[in-house]
Amino acid sequence: MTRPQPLLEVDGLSVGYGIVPVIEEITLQVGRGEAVALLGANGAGKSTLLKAVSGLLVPGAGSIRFDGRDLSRLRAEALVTLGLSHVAEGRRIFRRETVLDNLLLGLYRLRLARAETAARVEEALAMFPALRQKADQLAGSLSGGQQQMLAIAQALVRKPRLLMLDEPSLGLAPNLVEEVFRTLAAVRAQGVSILLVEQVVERALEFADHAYLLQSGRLSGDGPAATLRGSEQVRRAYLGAAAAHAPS
Amino acid sequence: MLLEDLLALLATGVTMGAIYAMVAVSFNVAYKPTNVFNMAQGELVMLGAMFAWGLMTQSALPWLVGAALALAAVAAIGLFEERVAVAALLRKPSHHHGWIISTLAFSIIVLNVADHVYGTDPQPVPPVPGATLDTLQWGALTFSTQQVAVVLIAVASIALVEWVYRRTLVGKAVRAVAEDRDAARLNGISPARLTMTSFAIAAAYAALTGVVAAPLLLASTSIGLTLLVKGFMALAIGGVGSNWGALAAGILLGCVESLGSVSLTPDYRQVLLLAVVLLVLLVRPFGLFGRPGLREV
Repeated sequence: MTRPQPLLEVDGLSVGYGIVPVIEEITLQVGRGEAVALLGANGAGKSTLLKAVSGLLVPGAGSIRFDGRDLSRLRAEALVTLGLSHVAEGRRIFRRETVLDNLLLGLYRLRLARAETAARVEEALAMFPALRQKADQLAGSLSGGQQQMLAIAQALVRKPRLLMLDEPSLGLAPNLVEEVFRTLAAVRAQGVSILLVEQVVERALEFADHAYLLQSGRLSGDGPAATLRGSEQVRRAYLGAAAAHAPS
Repeated sequence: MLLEDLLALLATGVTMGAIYAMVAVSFNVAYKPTNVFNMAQGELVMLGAMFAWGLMTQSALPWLVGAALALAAVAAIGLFEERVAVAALLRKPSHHHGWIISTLAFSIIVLNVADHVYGTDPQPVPPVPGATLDTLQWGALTFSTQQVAVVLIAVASIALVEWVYRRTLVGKAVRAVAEDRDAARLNGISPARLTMTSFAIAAAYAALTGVVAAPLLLASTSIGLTLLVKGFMALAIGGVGSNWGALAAGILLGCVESLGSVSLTPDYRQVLLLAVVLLVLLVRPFGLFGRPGLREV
């Protein structure tokens, strides 16, 4: 199956903390309107890859291109204007600000007219009705699920072209995980590309069009998500080479 | 002690407390987006006072023009300090606390240059327009209108700082950077730009403190260290990050110091103030209005 024209292109990317390499020579693509899952065990380098793409970490080697533009010299705070939003792991909202202020801070860089700002906030609240009722509450007082929704809403309010999410279902009850994926499906239906790091492998593969497998900082494979579901390749990415020889 | 004497001492205490509070607030403004206590803040107050003397007394510029130029010049020095003594260190996690030494070094350089340029003699600075240093009698209370001006400027400026942090998006962005620097960056907020702006504003605010305090204290290169220490005490007692807390703590310290002057020598007054700081911190380790875990890491 042919993949859509690439929006994000990562080529030969290596990133480390100091002299310790975390990911090496990663090459991947996310197409326009495509949902891509990035899978791998804890410590495989998935979050590091997202941080490098969003400019929080400086690559040691390789290139990152977004819509044909080289991102490697741009600061994280400048990337939001290009249409790239990163929902980091651990619901990184501003807990001491209200829900409404969190959404407004999501628009800080865009310097929109007042009417457009109000329209964007209204759109986000319409997508997450639970947040509307708590718009004036401190974000820190929300439940875990609502905080995750707010983190996603804060990214969506900028109308990104690529939404990157790091473990959006982490620590959520199963019904809330379903709600998160329902929301992501609605976002995807609007033509937004999604790069998803997720520990709930089956759910991620069910959602994504394409998936990449990361093992100890290197790509160990990729393919259409439908063909990777239940495959030995995925099992190996999570359990290591030993899994290949273990009885199933 | 006569009632008149007691009230006069309290009026002096409140005035000095307002000055200490302004120094503490200038610490807070620079601290919010950076976690850095600028050890040169006292010398920036001193520069404000010395520039005011040079511009208003020596060059005979109108008060408002002199004050504006003094604030602008000190803001530029604060920005320069942020670039050379803070930004480079914050970028490298291994040098993360190097700012303690680098801002202290900057402070020593500023003091020595100022000593060389201005000498050590105290110099007069004109009072705020409309105020005088003449004492007025109001019932049993004796005070000058310059004292009133200092207190009013402190209260109004702290109210303005609080309004900016609580009501404007830029202020909320500074609070967001203080809470989670990386999350702020992912939302398009530039910590570097806000840090530079905060340092420049904190320096200008320190200069304002020097300009309004100098008519009462006289402009002298020795006032920086004293005000740094007292401002830091007000910051600790009030709670780091709390501007109204700094005002309350500053006034408490000013009054204790002023009342202590009746029977204590200057050295023992310092001991008394430190005892107050220790006592408050023993009971409330985060200060009167501070919050534990002000910054999550």
